[in-house]
Amino acid sequence: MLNSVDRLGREIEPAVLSVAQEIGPTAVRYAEKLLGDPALAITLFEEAAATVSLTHREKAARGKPDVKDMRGYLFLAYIRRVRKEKRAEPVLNDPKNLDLARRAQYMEMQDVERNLIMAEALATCDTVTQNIVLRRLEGFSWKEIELLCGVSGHAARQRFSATVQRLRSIFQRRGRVP
Amino acid sequence: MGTVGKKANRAGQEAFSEKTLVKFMKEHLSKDYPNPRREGCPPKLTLERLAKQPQQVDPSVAFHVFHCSPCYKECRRLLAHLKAKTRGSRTR
Repeated sequence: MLNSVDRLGREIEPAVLSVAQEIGPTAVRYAEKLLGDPALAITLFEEAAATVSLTHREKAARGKPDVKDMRGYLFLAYIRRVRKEKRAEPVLNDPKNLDLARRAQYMEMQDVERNLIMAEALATCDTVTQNIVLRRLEGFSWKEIELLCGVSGHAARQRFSATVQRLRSIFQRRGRVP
Repeated sequence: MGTVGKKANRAGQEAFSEKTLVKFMKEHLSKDYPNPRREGCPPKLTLERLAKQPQQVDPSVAFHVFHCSPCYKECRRLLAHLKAKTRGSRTR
């Protein structure tokens, strides 16, 4: 599905490519829904993978620790690239000046933006946090989460709160009500 | 702060409250990742294992559940079942 070089001629490292092949179908399916163009969705995914490869190489060259969660890191890079592409679409800056059809488009854009904000905030969760979030959303107590996820109730609570806070600050920074 | 300011402030707080954000997280995970052809979905047994013993499951499964609405909904169902069972056995 993916090329090992992006459209700008940048190479995708084998370590990144293997993760990209794994999460590619899921990630591209998601972006395709937002962008409405499967080819563009794949192109942007390759670009994100090439950018992550570059970061990976730079970190190694500087002797910095490697990316811990490559799946989440790549997905996050992709979401940010998709958002940049969406924002570049010539739709809207001032909804007051738009006619009705464009207002509808503006509303749709707001939904897309919210969708991407949610995806971005959740993409930063590592596996342990994902497992905590899954359970907390279903009303599990911190004690129950502690028993199942192998982290203390206090640590679980902190991880969950950090996720909620990240989401809140992204919405606040962008001045959006969810 | 005037009445209008207080009202706006309260509305802002409610908009970003944990309860509201949790509701939107659930909606996002349930709706925003449709996968009608169930591409790449793990078998049901793996999802059951994720619900019961998350530490024993490959991290790619949790990632998938976070990005596939049908699997997320299935996982919710399994977790609800597990929660009811655990709490039921504790009250007995």
